[in-house]
Amino acid sequence: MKNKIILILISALFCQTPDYYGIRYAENSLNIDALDPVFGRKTTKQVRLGELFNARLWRWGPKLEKEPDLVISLPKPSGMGMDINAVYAELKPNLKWPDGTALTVDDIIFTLDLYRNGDSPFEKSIAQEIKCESIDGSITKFKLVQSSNLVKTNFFSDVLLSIPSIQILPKHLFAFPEIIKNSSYSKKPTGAGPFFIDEISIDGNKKEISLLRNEYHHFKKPIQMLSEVSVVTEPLGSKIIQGLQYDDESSYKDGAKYGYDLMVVPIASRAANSVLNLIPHLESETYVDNSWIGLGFNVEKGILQSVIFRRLMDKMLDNQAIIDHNYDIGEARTITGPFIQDFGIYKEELKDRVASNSEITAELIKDLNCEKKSDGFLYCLNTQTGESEQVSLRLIYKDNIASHGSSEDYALKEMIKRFEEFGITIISNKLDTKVYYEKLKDKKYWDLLYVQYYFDWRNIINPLFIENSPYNVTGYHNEVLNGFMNDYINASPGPLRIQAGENIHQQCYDNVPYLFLWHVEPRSWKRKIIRNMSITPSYYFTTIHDWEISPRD
Amino acid sequence: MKIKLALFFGIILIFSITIKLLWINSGSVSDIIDIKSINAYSQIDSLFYFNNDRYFGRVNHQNWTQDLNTLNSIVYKSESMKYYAFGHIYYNLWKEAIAARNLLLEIQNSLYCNPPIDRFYPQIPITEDVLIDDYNFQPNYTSLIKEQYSDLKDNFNLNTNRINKISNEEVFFFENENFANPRYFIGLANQYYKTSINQLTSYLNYDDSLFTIRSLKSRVRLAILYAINGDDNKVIEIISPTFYSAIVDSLYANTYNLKIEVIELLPHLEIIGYIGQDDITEIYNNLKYDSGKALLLYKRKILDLENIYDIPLVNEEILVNETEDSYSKDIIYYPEYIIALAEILSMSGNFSRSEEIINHFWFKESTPRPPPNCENWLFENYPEYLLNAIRLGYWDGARLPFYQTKLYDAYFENKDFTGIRKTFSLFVAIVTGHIGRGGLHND
Repeated sequence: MKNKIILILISALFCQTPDYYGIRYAENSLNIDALDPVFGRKTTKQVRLGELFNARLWRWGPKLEKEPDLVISLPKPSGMGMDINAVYAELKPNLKWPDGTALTVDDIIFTLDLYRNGDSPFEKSIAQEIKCESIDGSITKFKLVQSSNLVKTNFFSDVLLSIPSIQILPKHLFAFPEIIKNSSYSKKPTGAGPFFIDEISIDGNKKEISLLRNEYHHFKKPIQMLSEVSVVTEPLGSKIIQGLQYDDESSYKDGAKYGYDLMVVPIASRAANSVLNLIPHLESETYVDNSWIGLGFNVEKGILQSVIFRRLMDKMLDNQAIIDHNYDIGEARTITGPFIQDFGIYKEELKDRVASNSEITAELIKDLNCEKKSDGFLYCLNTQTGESEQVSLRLIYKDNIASHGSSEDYALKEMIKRFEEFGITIISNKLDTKVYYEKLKDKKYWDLLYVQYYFDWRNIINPLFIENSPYNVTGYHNEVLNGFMNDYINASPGPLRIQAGENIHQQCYDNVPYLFLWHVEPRSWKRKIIRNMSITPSYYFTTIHDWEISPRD
Repeated sequence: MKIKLALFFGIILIFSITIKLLWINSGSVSDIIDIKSINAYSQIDSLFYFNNDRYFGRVNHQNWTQDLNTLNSIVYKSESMKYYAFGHIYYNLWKEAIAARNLLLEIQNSLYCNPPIDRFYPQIPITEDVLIDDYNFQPNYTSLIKEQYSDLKDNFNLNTNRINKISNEEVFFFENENFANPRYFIGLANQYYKTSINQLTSYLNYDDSLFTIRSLKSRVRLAILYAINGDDNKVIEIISPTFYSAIVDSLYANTYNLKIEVIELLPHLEIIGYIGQDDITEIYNNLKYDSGKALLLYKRKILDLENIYDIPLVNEEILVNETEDSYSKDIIYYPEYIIALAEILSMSGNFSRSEEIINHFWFKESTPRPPPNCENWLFENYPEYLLNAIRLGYWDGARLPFYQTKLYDAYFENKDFTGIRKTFSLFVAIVTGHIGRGGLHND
């Protein structure tokens, strides 16, 4: 009898579900074949994921202050008896990688060497300027010195500002650094961040990455520290919204995760936001991102080769009216080009090309040798065939850009209606992500794209406009614009860079490769049980080390 | 008998004020936008009415420069209406210009000279050689900023014009697009200040009724204008004892008009000896909201008045964190309280805490959208509030883009603010320009 009681007690003890300290969020897609920071695909969602498992020597804090990560303290300008062309720092004691291997100065040296010889242009440019040397063979004390012989007066500043972009890599896991591309490391990279990738599962289009707490991470562990982050792919925004609505208890039950705890992509659906507003376990927060929504033109095809026609299409739309009809007050703002004003670079004098009255559009239509005929359709002269052809344009977009019922969905419908009022037929195709990218390559298939772009805060947009770039989907490029792009990239933040940025903005405004329509103010939702959450300036996540969460069991 | 009489008149006063206040609030901004003539004061009041934009849809209401243009193009039924309208629009413009001057100087000092904290080092301060090479700075520019900053930084909160020291007209830029002249705003402020005094005085010469809300508000504002210039006799002339009772009673009335100005005037009255600590204590005890009580004390502190030790202090932490009890019904004092508290912290060198308080208010988790699109607060002078909030909150780098947009939205058509827009844009571009990885986007 006594044994039976003991058995029951033991089984009760083991059967009791432990408290769960994890969170789960969704991305609409993820390319998990190349997650490594050296060769991996550089998209905002990839980097966002990388923030969870990577570490740097020092990094940008939530208020844009620089804060030590792997080093004890931020370096100070060289003092007496020190090399004035070097930046001195020291690693925190007893740093370890998630597998328990010591993290030493050797890893820093290795990381910079790897980036220097890698093909990631941004990190490469930094590593070409900076190399690491151990001080007297120490495994924690090191100095960063100039790689090149060029004397730089602002080397200290450059180091301080560029190191937060360099994720430190584990030397011991790279038997052959030169074949990191497509290696097992690339598919499941390890960093020294607060989490490590435990498992990746793929079930058709569904992908799930499970990250567990890195027990060797150097930050002091808060009492109710997150112990697990689960990232899944969910192309439908409506499903993510649904997932947030599970109450705290039913979102995790008997070891299984249901629903979501965090929304990392902004939503601007009035209906969705008003639903989420009523859910007591959720709260929302504003943050800043760098994004815009627009229509992309296939500038190499038919009537869209004409910049006048592209401008005419812009004039057919009243962006402000579309925003007013489809977004809540303050949720979206019109833009005039690829730079939104939030980051200090925009062409102030430009005005949005507001919809003109019917007389002006009629005149433009006439100038273009176009005519709206009695059948209600617009016909334009095809200069190659010499014949008048009905203007019919195929518009394609990814299903997650304008999920059903979202503001973007309604806004698109309004735009299509407006074009049709002018006699332009729009054949609209909402496509699955994979199909979209296949169709995108076929320039004969499509005329218009409905797109949403997120950039990081540096706002380097040249991939969209460089000849033969896979990201240059519209096909628009020219030498003048290239020159401005180079000026922009090469100038330090300041008046010269602002000027270059404004020139780019003006060029894009004048030549209309995209109709730059509006920027949506991002709004994030999360469960109230998640505390101390700071949203990163550029990639959403930042000081995740001190997030706390009330447990669910 | 005296007490009974005082009580009787007090009740009459409160009743009359309440009726007037209710009546004044009935106007709407749409009354004035489409009209070409002013036939009633309520049309003017609708322009000045407290704002949180839920009525107006866009952030551009309380755009004082635009409103001034509107008032200039309207025909007035009577001269007194015109004086009233211009007296108050210039008062608002004066406050806005002072806040603009303070913001510009603050940002310039951090960009070019001596940022008070090193949070954004090494992006700022911009080194002298870069200023000369990339910005075409003349060597005397930075000394000009240093001189003006040290002259004014301890008085940012006082709304002082430095009236006697500055000439009226100043050029906005010093031969250089990167260097706006803060003295320009001092010139503007002087001009607005003088016009407001003239117009309010003219209006009060017409207004024979002492206790209409318009008269009360005009007198309180006129008294403040004189007080900040140390014109004590004029203040005493305006504030008769009966008038004083009326404005204090307005603090307890169930309306919003006048409250902020009266709180602002009281410490000035204490300085000139018109009222004493006992009066302040009595008012303090009778104020309904903790944020109002705290605001009164902070306004005294800002003017360097001696602490009143037997006052039971309100709990600052509870107030800042906005528990239901402390703020749920107060929609007018709380924003001002936040600014005053942040100002005091900033004066004592605690920039981090000052910034935290402002940004908590602006982005607090309980409100999905920050002002002015939230429905929690009313702003008597939103442009002034915005400029002050940016000056005190700009040390949170992650919020800089938000402030940049607000500044742009509010002033993109206002040429007087070109220099502020450009200076702040430069600051944002420099501080945020290194954040990120480069060439990164979604696809």
